[in-house]
Amino acid sequence: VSWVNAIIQGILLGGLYALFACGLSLLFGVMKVINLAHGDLAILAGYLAVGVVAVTHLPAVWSFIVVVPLFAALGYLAQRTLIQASLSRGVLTTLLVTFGLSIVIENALQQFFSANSRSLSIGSLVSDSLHLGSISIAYLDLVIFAVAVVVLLGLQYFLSSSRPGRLIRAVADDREAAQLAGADYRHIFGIAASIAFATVALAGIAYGMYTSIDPTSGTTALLLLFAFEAVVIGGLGSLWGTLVGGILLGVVQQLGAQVGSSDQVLAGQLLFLVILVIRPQGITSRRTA
Amino acid sequence: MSSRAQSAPSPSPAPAPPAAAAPGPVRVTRSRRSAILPAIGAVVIIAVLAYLPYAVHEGTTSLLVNFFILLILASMWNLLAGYAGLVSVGQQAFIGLGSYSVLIVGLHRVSPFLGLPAAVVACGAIGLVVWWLLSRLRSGYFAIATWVIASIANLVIIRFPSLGGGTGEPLSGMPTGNPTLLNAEIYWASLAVAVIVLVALYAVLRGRLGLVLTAMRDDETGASIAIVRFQQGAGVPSPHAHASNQFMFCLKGRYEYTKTGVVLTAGCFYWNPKGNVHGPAIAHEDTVVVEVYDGPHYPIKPDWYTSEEDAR
Repeated sequence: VSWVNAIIQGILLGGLYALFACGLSLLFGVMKVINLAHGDLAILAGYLAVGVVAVTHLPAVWSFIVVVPLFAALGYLAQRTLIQASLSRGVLTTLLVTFGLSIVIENALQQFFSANSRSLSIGSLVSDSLHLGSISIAYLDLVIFAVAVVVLLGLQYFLSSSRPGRLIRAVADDREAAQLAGADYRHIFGIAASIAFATVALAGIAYGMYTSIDPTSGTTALLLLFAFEAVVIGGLGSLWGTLVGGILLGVVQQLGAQVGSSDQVLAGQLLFLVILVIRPQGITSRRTA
Repeated sequence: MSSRAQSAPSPSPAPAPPAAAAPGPVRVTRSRRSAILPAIGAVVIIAVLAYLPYAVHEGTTSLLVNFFILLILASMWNLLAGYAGLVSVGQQAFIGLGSYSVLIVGLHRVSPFLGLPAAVVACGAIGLVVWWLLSRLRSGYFAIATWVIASIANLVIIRFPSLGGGTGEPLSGMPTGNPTLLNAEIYWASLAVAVIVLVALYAVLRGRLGLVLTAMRDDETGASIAIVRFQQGAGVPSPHAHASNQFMFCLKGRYEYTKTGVVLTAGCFYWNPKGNVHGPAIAHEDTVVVEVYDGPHYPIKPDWYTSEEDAR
């Protein structure tokens, strides 16, 4: 039973990873940007949600109404200024710029919110759980997983069926050709970045409810690395694949934790390496890397 | 992808390849004579730096130790990202593994200074294994994979309680006694490593390997497009094969592969798979073709080329 429980918990944990990874997947897949500040942006969103709750006394669950649009605007702005400026100067520059952004966010949070850890209190939801025989499933985990599935499948539908979504894919596939056809790629990149930032805000709020956060969580919690792994395991440019990759990573980590508590992370990393060696294009991708 | 224009390899009616000179040992010129003065300057600077522990306070030399470490790290970055175009975000793994190699040597009651070469060998060997794992990956994939490798290195090391687990372990085996002498020795050791790294990088990167690395960074496939004009009677004198797929459009003229009788005239498309032996060929009229190669042109430079530029 404990193994079945591990698999179920792994699937639910994978939902959180996938929610984290979906913005990363967009930025990486569309702009080829490796956003090292992604984890810190999520933590920033978590802190903003804490601030919103403190000011408005809304229930924490509703804080996303303020934070998500704010992050979407921030994403567009960041893309049109900082990221766009570094894009044309190669992989190393975007890497260094986002790394610098990560340090700036971390230290700014420490400056304004102190190094104490915070959490988004959501009352009884955090402890209540669904009991199925001897297996108990926390409602919060279930909600986060549902949000992840809805967001990822919704985005996949948006990318494949709507006009802006098709433009994003066109620019990702062949920027020059899309430009020739009249697409303003900077604006399209901005839209992609604002979607990515909106999803990272959701992920940050979810993480703030899931566990307590402190200014360094974005880099020390290894969440960013797990998110990257989910993207690569699933296959670049496929949000559906990112969901599968996140779930696979979550399950393998939980199974590793069954062997020994220190094997949890290592099991996930080894899965990533194995996938990378035998199938570098990802498990759901048909194109070769 | 590079583009280039070629003239016919041999313009005479009867293609007479020049007697290929036996390729002698290649002489590599790393620097011109004008580099002698800076070299003398560098030797003087190194000598002054080596004398410093006798002249200045320990605070200054320990600051310089940090500078040497940064210098070595920056050289490594320049080699990896600057020359080879490989962006890694996992180099902290090798910094850590190097430190732990010195620690392991120290735990066996050997001087940590002897641990320095041991660390170089150990990290070099681990680097080879890591490269074997990651060699197929480029850009973003490569960067993330190096990060995962660093995380794995961390997770593996903290499993050894004898190495301090997750909290670290003081370096044992350091000579005790005269702390001033020890500080000077650490200074000299880091100066020596920095000098060796810089000289070795200079020697390697100004030679063949440096050129190969920059070539890979700038153009890993070696693919090219060329417009080639064969004057009447010119052609390719011997059967040959290409190191990549060849695609050819004939713009004008009459170009015959004499062995198979295939004739290209204006508007003809000709495709030749990688490694397929074809030729000789001759232009019966003044012929212009567009050649597209999806990789390197020839496996080795054919003997009918007189100019390096044409044979690329």
